[in-house]
Amino acid sequence: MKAIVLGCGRVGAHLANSLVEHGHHVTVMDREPKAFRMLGDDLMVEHSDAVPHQSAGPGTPRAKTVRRQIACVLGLGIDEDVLRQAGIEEADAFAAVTDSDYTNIMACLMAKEIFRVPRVIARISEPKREKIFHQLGLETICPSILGAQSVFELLVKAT
Amino acid sequence: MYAVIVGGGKVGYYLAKDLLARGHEVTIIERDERKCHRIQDDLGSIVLEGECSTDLMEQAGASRADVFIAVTGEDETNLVLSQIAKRFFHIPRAIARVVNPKNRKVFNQLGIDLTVSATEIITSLIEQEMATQEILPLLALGRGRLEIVEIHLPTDSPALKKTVQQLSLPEDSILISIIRGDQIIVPRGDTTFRANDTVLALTAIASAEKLKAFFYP
Repeated sequence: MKAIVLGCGRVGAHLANSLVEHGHHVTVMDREPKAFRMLGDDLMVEHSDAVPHQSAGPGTPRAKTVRRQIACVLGLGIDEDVLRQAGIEEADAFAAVTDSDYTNIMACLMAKEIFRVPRVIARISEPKREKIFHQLGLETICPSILGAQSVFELLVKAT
Repeated sequence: MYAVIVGGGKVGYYLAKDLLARGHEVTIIERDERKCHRIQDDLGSIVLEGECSTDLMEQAGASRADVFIAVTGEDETNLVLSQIAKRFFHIPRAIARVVNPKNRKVFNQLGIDLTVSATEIITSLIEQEMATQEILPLLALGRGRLEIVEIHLPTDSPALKKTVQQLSLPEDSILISIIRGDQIIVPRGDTTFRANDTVLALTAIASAEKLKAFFYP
């Protein structure tokens, strides 16, 4: 499966590494070059497809490097060109897990309605918003609710 | 008319001020406390402070709003909130500010037809001032399938001294008006073109090039 993960924070990096471990082809996107360090520096095997850094304004696609089997694309997740560079036209799955709900939603709407990616999932931080986005036809997960549920179950089981 | 504005920065503030001055009812939703105070001091109690959410939109009475305007500095926020306004509060008109002009197409594809982009407006103003042999797109309509264009007739235009009727323009193009100096002429079949006329036309984008051929050598 070809998957794109938008947002290379703790969630994104972990997700990308898990996908790769299960033999999937993964591209990670982030607007911060430093974010890709989250993937783990020791995993880095090659730098490739380096586009010259000149004339790179905000949102312009820049370098594409490869860490382990994870391709990294620098740029905004709501920029059509950056999404194309990440290979969204051939992607089987798209997960938006940045810390901004609206970025995740807009990126997922683009993935679903413009690029017709078959599987699209958005991370939502604010539980109240989840319902609305379901109604926009998006699949969402809310880590705060999942976390609370797990802790709750552990607590209840423990007593 | 009742307008709900999200984003109380410079755009939202002056927009609200203007709408109020024209006798409309306005509520601004803004997350920054200082901006809220400034708006409240200048324009009165028309502000709701907080991150814009469905709750706040409900508090603002979004379901009775005639127009929803999202003018924060973030394209993603403006897009998502406009969609919520249309789909959940059934506000007849949602207008979104687009910071990155590239996103206008994306907004249109995702169902937000009315967008405003300062960058694009300035670019097209510059083009209007600079261009000579070009058809100038002034306004895109119908999800980008139609546009209103401006055509400046050069002194060697093949249309000179011809009437509108004689030109037999493409079927999906129509002339709106001819500006000649201070005069605005509504074109009829027997109106003749002169050098330096400015012609405004509505055309299908696909026919813009054909239209151009009638006026430029």
